[in-house]
Amino acid sequence: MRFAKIALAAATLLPLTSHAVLGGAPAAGSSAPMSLRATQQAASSTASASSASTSTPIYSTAAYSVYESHDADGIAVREYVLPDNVVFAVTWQGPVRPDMNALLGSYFPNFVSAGEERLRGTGTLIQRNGELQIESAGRPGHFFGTASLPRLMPADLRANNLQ
Amino acid sequence: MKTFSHTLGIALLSVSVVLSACGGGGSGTGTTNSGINWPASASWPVTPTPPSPSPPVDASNSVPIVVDTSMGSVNQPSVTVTLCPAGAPNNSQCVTVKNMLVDTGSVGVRVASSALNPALAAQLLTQVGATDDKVGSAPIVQCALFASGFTWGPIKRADVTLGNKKASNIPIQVIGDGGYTAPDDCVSRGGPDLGSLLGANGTRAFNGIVGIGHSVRDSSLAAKSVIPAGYYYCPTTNSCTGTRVPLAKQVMNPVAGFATNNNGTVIRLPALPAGGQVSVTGQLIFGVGTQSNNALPTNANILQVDGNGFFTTQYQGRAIINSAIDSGTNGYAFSDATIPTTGEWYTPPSDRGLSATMEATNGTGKPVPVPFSIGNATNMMGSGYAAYDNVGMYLANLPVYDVTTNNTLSEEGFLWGLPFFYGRSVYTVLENAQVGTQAGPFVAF
Repeated sequence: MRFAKIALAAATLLPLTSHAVLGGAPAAGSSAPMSLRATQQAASSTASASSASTSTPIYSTAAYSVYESHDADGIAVREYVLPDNVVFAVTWQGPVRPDMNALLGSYFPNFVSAGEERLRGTGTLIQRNGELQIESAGRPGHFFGTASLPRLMPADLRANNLQ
Repeated sequence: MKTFSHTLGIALLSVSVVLSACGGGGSGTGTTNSGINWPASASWPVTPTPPSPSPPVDASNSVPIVVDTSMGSVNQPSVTVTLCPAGAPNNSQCVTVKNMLVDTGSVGVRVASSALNPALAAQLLTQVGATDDKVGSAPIVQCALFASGFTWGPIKRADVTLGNKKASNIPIQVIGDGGYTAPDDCVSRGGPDLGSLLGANGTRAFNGIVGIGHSVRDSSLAAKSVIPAGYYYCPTTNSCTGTRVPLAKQVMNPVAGFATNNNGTVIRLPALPAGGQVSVTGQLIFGVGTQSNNALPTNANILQVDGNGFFTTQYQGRAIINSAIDSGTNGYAFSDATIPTTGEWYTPPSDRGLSATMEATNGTGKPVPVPFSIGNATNMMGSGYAAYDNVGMYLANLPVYDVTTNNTLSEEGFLWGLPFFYGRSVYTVLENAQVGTQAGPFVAF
C-alpha cells in the first residue's frame, strides 16, 4: 500500500518538479554545466539571477558544480553536479522540507526506510541506507539537511567537508 | 582526507553493529552486538546512582520524566498524559497514556490512535473551521513535519492533564487513525511516517509527543499562508486540501493552556555516572519563576532564541546559526570530522573533552561557553542502558563558497540533544512571556 502510494506520488510529481533528481541529471531547464571558465564568467555576470533559476552554478571546480534554487515557499535547494551531469548531493533549508520525492528520485524509499526502521524520536535523522547518506535536521518552521551518494562524491569535496 | 577515509571505512564495516546496538537497547531481548562481546542486558547488578541533590518534588506543578528503554531508543524522555473528552464530567471516559516523548523542539500533544480506546476516540471533538474551508465544517487534518519524518492525522479537542495541571479543550493531533488518506505532498515532504512506529510493539511503546517548545501554537506561518505539508481540511476521506488555520484552532502547547504556571517549563534531570545509567527519573516542572521549584537563578545562562527556537553555537571557529537545545534529539548532533564515527555515532577511542559557545543570534546577552564530552557510543550502548550523557552524532554538511555573493553557504547545524540536559535544569520560556526582566522566547540553564 505504502509503496503503491509512493510510486503514485513519484509518477505524478516528478514531471512537475523544478529540482534535480539525486543520481540523475539536474533540473529540467538548467543547462548542462559548461566548461569551468564559461560557468565562472556566467556566474559573475548574472549574480542577481542565481536565486531565481538553477541554470547558473553558484560555484564550480573541475570536479563538480553547485546550483542553487529558491522556491515560492522559501526553500533553498542546492544541487551538487558532476561534470557528466549527474547529481551526487543535494542540500536544503527552509520553513518546510522540499519535495523529497522529487529531490531524491529513486532514493526516496531509502529516506523513508531510514526513518521507519527504528525509533529515534522527533529529532535529527542521520543514517546510511543503501547508497543514500541522509541527514535530516531541524524542527517545525525551520528544516535543513543533506542527502548524498558517497560513492559519487568527488574527493576534494570530501576534503572540504573536513575543514 | 585521511581521517575521512578511515572514518568511512569504519562506517561501512560497522553500520550493522550500530544498528543492532541501538535497537538492542530497547528490545530487551539480550541480543549480542556483533563486535562487542557484551550482552545488551547487563548481567551484573545495576546500582542506580543517587540523583544529585535537588529541591523536594512539588507535585502541584510537576510530573516525573522517565528515560528508559521502553521508548525504543536511547535518551528519549517521556511523561504520562491523561486525555479526556473536552468537559468530561468524570474520569471514566479518560485514558492515561504513558511513554509520551517530551519534546522542546515541537509544540502540541500528538497521540497515537492505538493508545486511545475507541470509545474515547469517538468522543473527542472534531476541530473544524479552517480559514480556507468556505463551508467551515470540514475536519482539520495535519501533516506535522519533524526532522525524522512526519505524523498525519486529524485535529481533535481534548482535556489534557499532566499531573495536577489541566489544559481544557485544547486542539491535539490523533496520529494514524486511518480516517484520512495522507496527501501526496505530505508523504513526499514528510518521508518516514512516524505513525508507523508509534504505539505498543512488544516490550516497548512510543505513544506520542508532548511538544513544549517556545510557541503557544504550532505554526504562526500556517495562520498566514498555506504551507505545503501542513494543515488540510478534508470534506471526505480522500479529498484533503491545504489550508490556513487560525492560531486558535491549531495544535496547542499544553503548558500554555494551563490556568497558572503557563509561561514555560523546566526539565530537571540528574547527572549521570560515567558509562551512562540504565534509566533515569527527573522532573518536568511547569511555569518559570512562578513557584519556589521553578525560580530562574540569578546566575542562570540565558539565551534569547528566534521564533523557531534557534540560537548560534560557535564551534571550532564556525558560527552555526542552526543551533537549538532539543530534548527530542537523542544525542549531540554536530560536525567534527576529526572524531571517528561508526554509522551516525561518534566513536572516539577515548572520551573527547570538547567546548562550544552558545550565543543569541540577535547579539543580545552574554556568550555562554559550554564544555561537553563525546565518548564511544558503540562501546557504551553495549550496556543496553537508556541514558548516556556523552553520545554524539556526526551531522555532516557540504559548505560551498558562493562566487556570486562572496558568501560561504552551509546547512551546518548544532543540536544540543538530551545529553545536554543531564545534571541541569533547562528552562524553556514561551514567546510573549516575561520572567523578571527577561522577555521570552528564551532558553536558560
